[in-house]
Amino acid sequence: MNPMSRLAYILNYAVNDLLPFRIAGETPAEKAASLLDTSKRWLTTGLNVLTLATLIVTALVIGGLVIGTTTLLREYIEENPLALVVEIHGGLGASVKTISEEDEKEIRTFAVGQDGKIAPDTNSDDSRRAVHRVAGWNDYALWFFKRDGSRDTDFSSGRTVQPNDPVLEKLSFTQKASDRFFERPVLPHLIVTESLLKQLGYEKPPAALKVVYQQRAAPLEIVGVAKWLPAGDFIISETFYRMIRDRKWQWPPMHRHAYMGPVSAGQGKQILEKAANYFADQEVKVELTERAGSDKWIKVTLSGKTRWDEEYWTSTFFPTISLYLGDSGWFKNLSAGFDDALRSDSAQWSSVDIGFTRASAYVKELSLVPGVVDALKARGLGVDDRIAQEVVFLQQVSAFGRRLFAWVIGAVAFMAAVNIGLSFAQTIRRKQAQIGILRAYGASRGFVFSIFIAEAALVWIIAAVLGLLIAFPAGDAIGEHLMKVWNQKQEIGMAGDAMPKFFRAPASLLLLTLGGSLLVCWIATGWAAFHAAQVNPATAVRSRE
Amino acid sequence: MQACFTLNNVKKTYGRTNDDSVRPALNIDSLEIASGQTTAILGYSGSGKSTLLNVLSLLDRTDDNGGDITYREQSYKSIRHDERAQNRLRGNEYGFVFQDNHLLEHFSAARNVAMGIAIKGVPLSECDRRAKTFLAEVGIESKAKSLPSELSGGEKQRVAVMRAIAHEPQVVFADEPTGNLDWDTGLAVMERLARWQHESGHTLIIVSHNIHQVIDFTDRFVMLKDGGIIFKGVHPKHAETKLEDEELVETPDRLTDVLRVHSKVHQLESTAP
Repeated sequence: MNPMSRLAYILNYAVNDLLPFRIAGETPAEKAASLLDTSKRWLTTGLNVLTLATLIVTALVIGGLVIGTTTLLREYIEENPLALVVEIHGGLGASVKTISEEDEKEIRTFAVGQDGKIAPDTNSDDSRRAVHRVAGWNDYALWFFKRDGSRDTDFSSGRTVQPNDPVLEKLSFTQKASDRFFERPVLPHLIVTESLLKQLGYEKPPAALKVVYQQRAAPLEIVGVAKWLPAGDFIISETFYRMIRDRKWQWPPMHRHAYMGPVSAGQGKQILEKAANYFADQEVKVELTERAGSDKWIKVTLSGKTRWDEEYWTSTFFPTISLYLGDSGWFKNLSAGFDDALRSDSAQWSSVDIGFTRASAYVKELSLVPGVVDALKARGLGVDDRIAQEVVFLQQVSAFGRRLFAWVIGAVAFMAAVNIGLSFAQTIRRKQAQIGILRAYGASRGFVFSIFIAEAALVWIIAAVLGLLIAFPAGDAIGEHLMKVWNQKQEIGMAGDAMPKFFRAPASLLLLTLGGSLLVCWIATGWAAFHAAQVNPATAVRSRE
Repeated sequence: MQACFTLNNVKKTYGRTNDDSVRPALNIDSLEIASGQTTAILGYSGSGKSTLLNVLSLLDRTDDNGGDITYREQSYKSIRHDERAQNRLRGNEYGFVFQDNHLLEHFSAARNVAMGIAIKGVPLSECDRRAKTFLAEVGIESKAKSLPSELSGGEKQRVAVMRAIAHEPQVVFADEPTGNLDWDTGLAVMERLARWQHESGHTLIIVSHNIHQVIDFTDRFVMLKDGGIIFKGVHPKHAETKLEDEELVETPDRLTDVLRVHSKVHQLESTAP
């Protein structure tokens, strides 16, 4: 009465039953029949193993993808405060006062207090200047050349627009040019008022106007002439605004430090190389000066000479992930904990950072971004929440992925259960007499039940080994490919070696998958095994004649 | 005569047991089956032979209020709901041979012989060793590793017989053990079973419809018709233990006569004008 020997017999029975390895018979016909029977068993077992392995592979690969995307997204949100930044572009020299008295109270900068903590600073000169700039937005403007070539002594103020900008509804065109305005998104466009044209000495609108901005002159194509503009004397398109922002329009750099990230270990070198390459023709020195705040963000310092022999610093060469710091070191004191500052404060948007061409609202939570965007648009401001939109899109993809995962896994698990259950039921029906004999010789119902549960476990073990052998290389390959795509899209991604791990199923999923698939296998076979155990030995062993 | 089994008012009905219109398949007022002897249960098909064997061997149960069977001191009624006790009794005390050999098709001859002891938890190596000595005894040691499909009908049934006795049971139940075999092979199987009974001194109960094949090996006879006993007989060598309701059976002729009297053909003949 040795339980181990009994277990050995049960396993021996299960292996022999599932994967018989002997071809019996003396005559060729008998051998053929035996071969056919053995093949049938192998095929049945093989199909059961395959369906279960499919379940395991699907769960691990798709699950890995879903979890990887979710993890990536979480890192992206958590480590990238830019997702919480809404860029406001009232535009070059926008003269319209765009922010209410009430909102002005929300505008502040941060300072390091005596206790070493970062806190909103409402009283300092810097802070007051920030309020002034956001509220007024009239520091910058374009100078126009008159028709006779002389430079207009008085500059004019205007703003930018982008597609769907509510200000467009208020425009009245003398030329039917609104379609063209959006047709050619790359070129700079300009809409001017009739009165501005008259002031410059034009009877009819010219094809382009030569303008000066920040001491650089360039022609801007006129795509519309308006009788009246709500923003001032001109509107320039969003495209033009972006060209300036992305430095396609030559203007002096104004930033000193750049915080970049998220970056993984060892990537600083890569960034420096990229930066050095970018500034190769301008004799700019690029240094990694320190790691800031979170160690996933690094601070890069650039130094060199301009033609004005001034030192300058920049951060604008990674448009999607760099942070602008303002022109006069407003955030200089905050460099140690900059991204913490972005996330602090209790207001809906916790601070507004003023650059030369733009302001940014730092929103406390991602879910509040759409509300902030709407509020800003309602005030006639252009806004840019691309990163937030990207994150929301990724969230939707991730949620969709999870739903899809649940459905696919459910369907595959159901199919596996039905397949395995049916084939076991069939086997057991065929084996009634054998079960009867086992019962006659004293095998308990539990013993018979254990035999088929052991067979199910055996199927599961083979399926698990097969599944793991397929799932991990497949998951890694898919992960690597996705990371390649991701990194291309991000321009500066995370280090390649760090990424595939995101898409590798974590231990918890592995355990869940293995446990779940065993459960599916056992549930599927359980009822067949239960019925097998209920076989009445007297009926089962009755002669079939 | 010492009784191995004692039956009292044993009833077995298939289908609806509470329906009086359904005739029981087995209805025995009183029967004792001798211990240490060979008893043959005879009768036409459908007479209840196998049913009797099944309820005796605990493969099937009697009706809920269907009397009691006692095996030695053990009342079946008392273990009616104790599956473990039933399994233990079947596994330890009983052995079985059926008309179909019911060998486990994916196990070797040796593993089939050892099935009964393997279920009990005897290590497989020990099982194989014991099985080989049994196979050697019936001259098919060389087929120890053969699968049932590689054995002839006679060889298969010999393996089944060895399986029935390998775990040293007290009682072997043989239900038409020669039914699928030719005369000589069947006789060899019968001889082997009888030899076991003779050597071990244990009890052998054979169900058969073939009087001529079993008569030489049988000590006592029970003949059934429609589930009831119509004849009890005893071989003359046991004349001194003959019970009141038993008849001495000298030749098969007496048995065949009894059978003929109870056959439907005979009944038709006798009622004819």
